[in-house]
Amino acid sequence: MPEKMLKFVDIDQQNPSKRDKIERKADFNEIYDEFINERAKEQSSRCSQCGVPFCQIHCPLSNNIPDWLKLTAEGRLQEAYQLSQSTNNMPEVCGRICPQDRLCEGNCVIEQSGHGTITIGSIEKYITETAWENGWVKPIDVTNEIDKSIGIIGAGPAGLACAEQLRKEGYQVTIYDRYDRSGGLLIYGIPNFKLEKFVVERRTKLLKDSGVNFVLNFEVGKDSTLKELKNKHDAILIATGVYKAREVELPGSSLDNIFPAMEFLTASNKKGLGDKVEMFDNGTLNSEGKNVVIIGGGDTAMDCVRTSVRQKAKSVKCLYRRDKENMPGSAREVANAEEEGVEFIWLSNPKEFKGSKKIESLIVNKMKLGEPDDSGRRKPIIKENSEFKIEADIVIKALGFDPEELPKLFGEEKLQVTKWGTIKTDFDTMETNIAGIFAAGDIIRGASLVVWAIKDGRDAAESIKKYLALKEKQNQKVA
Amino acid sequence: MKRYNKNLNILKQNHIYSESMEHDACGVGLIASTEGKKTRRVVEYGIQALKAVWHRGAIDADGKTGDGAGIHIEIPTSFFKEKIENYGRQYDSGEICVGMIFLPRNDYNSQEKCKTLIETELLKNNYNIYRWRQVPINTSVLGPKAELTRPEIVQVIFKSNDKSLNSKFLERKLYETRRKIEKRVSNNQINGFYICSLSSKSIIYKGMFLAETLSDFYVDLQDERFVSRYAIFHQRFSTNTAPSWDLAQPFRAIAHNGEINTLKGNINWMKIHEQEMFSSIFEDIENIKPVIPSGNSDSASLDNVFELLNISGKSAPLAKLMLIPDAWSKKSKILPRDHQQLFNFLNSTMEPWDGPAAIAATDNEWAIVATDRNGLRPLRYTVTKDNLLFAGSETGMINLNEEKIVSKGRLGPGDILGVRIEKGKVYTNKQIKNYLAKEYKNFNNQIIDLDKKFLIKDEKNIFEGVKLRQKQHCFGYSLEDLELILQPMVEDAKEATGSMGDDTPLAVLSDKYRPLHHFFRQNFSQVTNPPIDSLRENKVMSLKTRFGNLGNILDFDNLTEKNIYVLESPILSNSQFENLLSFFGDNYKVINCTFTKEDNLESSLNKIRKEAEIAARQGITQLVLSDKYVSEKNVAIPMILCVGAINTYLTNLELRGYVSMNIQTGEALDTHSFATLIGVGATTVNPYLALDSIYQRFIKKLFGNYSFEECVKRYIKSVNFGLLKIMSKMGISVISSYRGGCNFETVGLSRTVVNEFFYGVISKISGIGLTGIEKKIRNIHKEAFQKSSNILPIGGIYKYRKNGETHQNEGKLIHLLQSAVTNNSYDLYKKYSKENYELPPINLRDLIDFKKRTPIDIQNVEPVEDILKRFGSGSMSHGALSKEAHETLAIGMNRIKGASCSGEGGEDKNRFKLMSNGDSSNSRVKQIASARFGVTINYLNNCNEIEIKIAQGAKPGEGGQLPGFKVTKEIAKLRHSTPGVSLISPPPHHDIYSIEDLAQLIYDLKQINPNARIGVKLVASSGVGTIAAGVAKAKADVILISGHSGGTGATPQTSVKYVGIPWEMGLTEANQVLTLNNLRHSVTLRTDGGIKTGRDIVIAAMMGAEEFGVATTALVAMGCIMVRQCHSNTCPVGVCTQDEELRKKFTGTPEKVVNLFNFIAEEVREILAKLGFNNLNQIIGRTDFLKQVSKGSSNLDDLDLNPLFVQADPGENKRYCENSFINEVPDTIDQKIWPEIKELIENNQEIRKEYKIENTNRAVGTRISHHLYNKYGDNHLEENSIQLYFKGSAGQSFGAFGVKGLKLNLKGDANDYVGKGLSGGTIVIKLRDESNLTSNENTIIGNTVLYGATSGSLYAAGQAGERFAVRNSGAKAVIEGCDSNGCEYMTGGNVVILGEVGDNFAAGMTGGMAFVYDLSNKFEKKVNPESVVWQRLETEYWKSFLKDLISIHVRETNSSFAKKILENYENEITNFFQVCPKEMLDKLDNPITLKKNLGIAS
Repeated sequence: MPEKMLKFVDIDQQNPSKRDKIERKADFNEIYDEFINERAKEQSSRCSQCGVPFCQIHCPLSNNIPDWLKLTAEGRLQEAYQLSQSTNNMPEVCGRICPQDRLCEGNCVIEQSGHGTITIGSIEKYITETAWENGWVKPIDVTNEIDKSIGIIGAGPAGLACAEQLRKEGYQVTIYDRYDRSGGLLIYGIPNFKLEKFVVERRTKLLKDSGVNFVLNFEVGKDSTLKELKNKHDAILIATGVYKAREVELPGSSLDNIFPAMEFLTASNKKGLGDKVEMFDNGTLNSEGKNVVIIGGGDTAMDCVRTSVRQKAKSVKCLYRRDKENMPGSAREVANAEEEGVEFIWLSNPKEFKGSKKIESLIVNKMKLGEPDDSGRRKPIIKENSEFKIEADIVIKALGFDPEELPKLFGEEKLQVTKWGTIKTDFDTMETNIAGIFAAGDIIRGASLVVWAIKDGRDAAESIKKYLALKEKQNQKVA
Repeated sequence: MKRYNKNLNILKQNHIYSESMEHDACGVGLIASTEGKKTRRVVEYGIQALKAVWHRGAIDADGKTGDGAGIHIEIPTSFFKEKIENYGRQYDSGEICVGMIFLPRNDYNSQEKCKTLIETELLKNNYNIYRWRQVPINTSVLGPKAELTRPEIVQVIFKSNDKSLNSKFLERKLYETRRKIEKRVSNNQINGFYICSLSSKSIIYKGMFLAETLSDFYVDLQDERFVSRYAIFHQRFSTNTAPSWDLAQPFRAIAHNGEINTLKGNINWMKIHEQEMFSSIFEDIENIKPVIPSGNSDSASLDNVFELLNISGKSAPLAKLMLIPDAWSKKSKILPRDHQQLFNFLNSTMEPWDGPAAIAATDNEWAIVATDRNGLRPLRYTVTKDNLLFAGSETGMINLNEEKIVSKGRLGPGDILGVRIEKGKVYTNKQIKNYLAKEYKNFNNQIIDLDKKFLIKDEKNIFEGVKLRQKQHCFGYSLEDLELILQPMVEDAKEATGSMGDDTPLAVLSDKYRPLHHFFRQNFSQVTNPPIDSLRENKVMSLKTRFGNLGNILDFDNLTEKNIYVLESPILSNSQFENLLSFFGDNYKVINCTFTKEDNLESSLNKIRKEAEIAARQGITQLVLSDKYVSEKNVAIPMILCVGAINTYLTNLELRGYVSMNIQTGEALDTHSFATLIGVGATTVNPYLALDSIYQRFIKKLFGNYSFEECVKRYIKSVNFGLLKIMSKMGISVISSYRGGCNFETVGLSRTVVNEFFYGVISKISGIGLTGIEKKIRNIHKEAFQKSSNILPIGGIYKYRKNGETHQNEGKLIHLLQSAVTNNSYDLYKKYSKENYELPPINLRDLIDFKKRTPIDIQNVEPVEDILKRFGSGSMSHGALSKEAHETLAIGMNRIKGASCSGEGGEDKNRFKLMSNGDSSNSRVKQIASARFGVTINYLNNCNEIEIKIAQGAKPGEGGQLPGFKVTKEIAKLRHSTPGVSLISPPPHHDIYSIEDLAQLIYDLKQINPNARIGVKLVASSGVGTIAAGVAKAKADVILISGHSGGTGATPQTSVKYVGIPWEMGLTEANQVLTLNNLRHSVTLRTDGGIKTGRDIVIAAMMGAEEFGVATTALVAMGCIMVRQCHSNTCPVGVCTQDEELRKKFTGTPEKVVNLFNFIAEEVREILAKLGFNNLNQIIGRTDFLKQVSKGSSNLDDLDLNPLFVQADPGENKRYCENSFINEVPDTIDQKIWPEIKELIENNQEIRKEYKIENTNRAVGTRISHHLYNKYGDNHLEENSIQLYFKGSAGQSFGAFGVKGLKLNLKGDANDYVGKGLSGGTIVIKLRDESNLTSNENTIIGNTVLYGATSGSLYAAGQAGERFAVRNSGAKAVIEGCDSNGCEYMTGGNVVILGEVGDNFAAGMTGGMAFVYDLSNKFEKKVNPESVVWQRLETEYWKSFLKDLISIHVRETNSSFAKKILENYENEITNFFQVCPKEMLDKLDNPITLKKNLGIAS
């Protein structure tokens, strides 16, 4: 029989079609179409089945990408799904929002040698969506319940992944979250056009059906101290994420209509979910008809600019202090934003916010790039006498997030944190300085990718299992 | 010598050297009277013949010590009568018995003790001793080594007092007496005692002198009274070097030229036969056990069994057929039915002693010569009018009057030629077999073929769902196994192909679960014996499996009356297995090969051994070892351990012969796992879990439209192919001799485990024991049954996976190295090197470190340039690599003055010239491999080193195939073939079946290019040391030891994984044994296989290498990213592909290559400085600077790396090669002729001189071709412009590599390899003027003629031997008949055969055209239909083409036979077949048929 794979020699790369920019600007729906079956097969068959799969090496979850590509190419989607989900708790999410161009696809051997990458993300999404459609995704059928309970603080990707891993083994899991919905950033941070909310809610429901308890609108430190929670459970995972927006301390930064990105995005997402949001409904957080300026160059900034576009802003500008090559966000997202009419002002940094009560305009410095700094990226330096002015009705600060002060917030001063405010954990076990309390996700590594959060959640589950097993053994010895 | 013995002991104690590793090959022959009269002539000719085969022997460094020679003749009664009477004793007319005895020379007490023991035993057995006689010898002809080891040589002359004994009974009694004496001496722990012969019939004179000095040493032989009716003579070439007088041949029954590949199995099975052996002819059967004393050479062991069979009443021809049978099971078309029945019967009595063999043997009734099933050793014979038969390795050994010759012939595969000594009547092969068939074929009825009873039908699976997955998991299956290994075995019905080398940890170093068979490495043959082509020469191979045997091999009159059952293959489907069990009724016992978690491994093994014993004692014949009872509570014992345990246990209890071991296991999946089970003793294997896994895929519809039964059949077919391939790698053709032979070595299994369970397996560095194994199986078992995940582990053994097995070439390191060479950053390289070292242990050297020493300033270390010269870049061909990659690498290597090698694919001659910028893309080393692609005189003269690739690290013992789609126009041109047509590389070099053949090839190459070093590439294995010694004795200049991790462009996945051992082991052994034998300083030692950093180089140097190959890493430097799809032609980076589009993606540059090697060299300097050395020479072979370190897990502490650190004392010599010159070989007559003809050429005079030629004049015409090439180039001389005339019997390689313009005319005959590598020259061989022979009825040239010829022509008026025109790619030839495997692998040229061809004609022939004159209508039975079609000639073009060739033949050779054909051409044309490769049909300029639809027989 002829070789089914290695077809990159004959077949060109093709992504699922992207909806037309005019059409997609008009709604908040996802911009990529689904692959049809044949196309997914064909595109999977381009994989070179490398001896050293750089795609996998650069995947935080070490997904067995060549293997499920092969299964897909052979039409064995159910097996592809099983394999894919064995290393990833939400492949359909990663398939949608991972910056593949920096991870798997960017390192694809076929891409590196100039043949155009295998469209890994789209295929990953396709596989899992097919699994959902066909009912292959089933709640966990726990046959051996274990009488040990774990409390997880935070229903974001890290918490959900950890919960699922533990539940599979039969542990009792309760997830606490201060929001009214589960999903963390997935639900309120990431806009619909990248990740439609049914995708997240489907996962939440699956976990609920699998026997995971959700306690929402529950704020640790307010509704219960960490210590109290610890007494209720055999182990605790802190997976709160980082929510404190980084500030720009400039003249005029206390003017009205200067918002942190999360506030802006949450409002938009809540609206999308059909909630009443006062600040939006009264027009404050709605960009419609306004000149919007977003400061920052990360993925959050991209989410904001593209949300503004969809809210029918009059103009959308993005200020970033480095140039396009040096921006942290996914190049694909920048391209999408550019297509949708966002104006990027590279090498620019606000100097001053101007306005009487509300923001009216910004004074901006032009920048140039100096020597690389500690991060390896070239340091931006202010260009002398380069100031210019931009009109603005709304300014959104998307400069990144810092951790909240958890020891204080949780009423547990003993909990150790790093100088950056993230929780200090043992590198191998992810355990904090308090025995039985673990931490995972952004709260230990600072704002990062969803895929890393999932990875942390899974690792934490392993550690917690080991911890509980060891404790059990010790108890038996004592008894 | 003292140093030698000391060194020898050190090596033996450290498991590095043992006599069992020695190999030999030789010249052998028989001279017999055909009138039954004892004559002096026979003895004299025997002595003379030995003088004419000296070149087949080897000479020690001292110039005089030979590897042994000897003669076996009848006892000269009158001579000994005189010796008795001289002594004052009365001779009383009875049979004189003479014992020829070696005594320990320097130990008089032992001598006396031996004599006393002999006397006691003789007297006790009713003999009367006449006297002891000191045999007169002339020690001045001995070399120092031979003299030092010389025994005291005495004869005991005696008679039997029992007059009633007829001579046959007397010989039996003498045999038993001899065995008793041997035992008694050995019980007295006396070394150096040996009985050459003890007989009333014959006597053997032998020793460690050069063959030509036999009668100078033994002056007895000069006595005219030495007369005989036969003389068997032998000259030995041994790879070993421990001179030992008793290993000289002939032995008591045979003289053997060859190698027994199945030796281990044969010895093990002989022990089993001994259990059932009884005979009334012996006083006590125990006296003759063990039949094979331990420590015997392979030939000696065969002789032991041969002799016993003779003694028990089986004639020499019958013994030959039992031990060295014909290939018959797949030859029903060409073998007479009664012969098949005879063979079938004999097959049920003994396991073949398989391997290349030419033997001369006698049982005192018959004197025979015979060959092995493959005809892998030459045997030529001549019968004369004056009643003599000459048979031997070469024709022309004795100068005979041509007029007196009645016939000249050769022995084909499996043939026997015999003389009844008494009457002198000669019997042909057919007569002998007819006669024996009449006597024995009836036993055939007792042999029942089970295959017809057990068809593969109504197949059912056993386990499904979770149960299946848990079992898969606990037997170590991964998704990779199922997808990459199992799927193709069903889908394509053959094993999956992979590429590049193995860069994963040795099983013992891995922290992952590795099934026990991963610890076993397959044996393979190199140099001393050829691997077989299991595809193209399938007919000689067999998987026939029998249950039980016919019992007592000593007594055919009283064989068992029970039926013997046979199967075509040992692999059974589920239904077959069920049927087999029910067929045997109650007569089977199932042994549960699992143990409960509470139990332990050791006691469970004891338990199953006991169970097996009880069953055997109860008379149960079928044991069923099953692990299907594995469950959450029951842990499976590794099946290979169970099989080994029961097999050895029952053998020791003498019960093994009564039972068959049927294995039902989940462990067997890939071909290697089956081979290990059978190799350690399993009779049949039912791989139920693999079959269930197939079922699992079958219901997913992954096998297209195949039914489940078909899937099972296809899987079994691929396993069968795999088994044949694995056997063929070590030259074994029959599974019954492979079974239980333990033909493996382990890396990292404890010596205790090996000795207890796998006797015969080599375990040099020891390793994990039962405790370690138990821990591993418990872990995987736990994982399999506890894990909540519903998916199998991903694998990662073959291809890297992040959570799978470690690989040395991992992503980060690849990128680091590439950045380093691209940016010329030594810092990045150092980072790469450091991270390489920090990987988990993968290679043995990862557990080795340098001992600390005082550093020196790096300025005092030799410069980078000096180190660079020692580097090579492996030997990858253009064809594997893209043109761009191949040339870039060569340019880079030339810039650093390192060595790049052409690989096996020829080289574009434009590259031989310097490029305009001063660069050169000419590979300094040219490779000569089994296919001889593009090996022309031009190629061989544009290099300063020629590398003979015997084996390659990734797939030793295997050939290869370049699929048609990779044979581009460019590649086809280089390889002298047709674009789009596949090219096959045979597994062996067809001119190297043994060590003396290699010596011959080296000789040939030194003739064609006297300025090139000749290298020999070997693959590391235990025993490579003795092979290296043999290679050095064969005058090689460079020996390369490749490690198992070397890469390849394509090979079966299991070959990459389970063959060969690390170079650390092979290199140290080679270095040690070469030093032991005073050979190290005369040969350069090179190593390669996964060398990546300066640290690797320094370790290799300390282990004895002075030159180093870095291939894969050089590819990585040029852009390779280990995609491992070389075999698919889709290399995305253009390194390893011929696709033009992909080649454009190549980004490598010579600078990158240069940077890499500079970095490595610089790192070497740094390490040298740190360790306080000025240069590499100071550390070569200095293993005392190394130490084993502990790194990681505790099971690694079981490893004992000390055998790697052992040093032999080199004495005065250096530990590295001191030669700045090339090792010299003797001159040929070319050196005499050339000055004469040079003058004539220069004066434009015609050359019309005739030279006498003898069989010792080898490679005649080759050096002359070299000179002509130097003078005229390869293509400038007019054809036949220089004509030379010869008369006599030409030695081997007549006209090898003959250049265009040279014509050699020979009257007489020639030996093997005529026209090897012919490069445009013309060779004509015809009968002597005075000859009375008819050309087409007699043999005129030997085996393997025109091997690898690229152009030129050959006309020979007579028949040729085996493998005529093998791998011919352009020469024309006309001959008058040939033996088997004619035109094998041919890719070009035209061959006309005016007579019968042997079996398997045109196997693997993918190019060229052949015409066969088939008067007897046998051709169609003999042709191999796989790759060719044949038809009567249809087109005028080809008819006249053929006619032209025959006309030239007639003109050149004067053949009256050919003339007759020509005279009646219109009628005769209908007797011809035209043979054309299928792949060529659509590519011919002149089609062979005008019919549109090719309805040709095929």
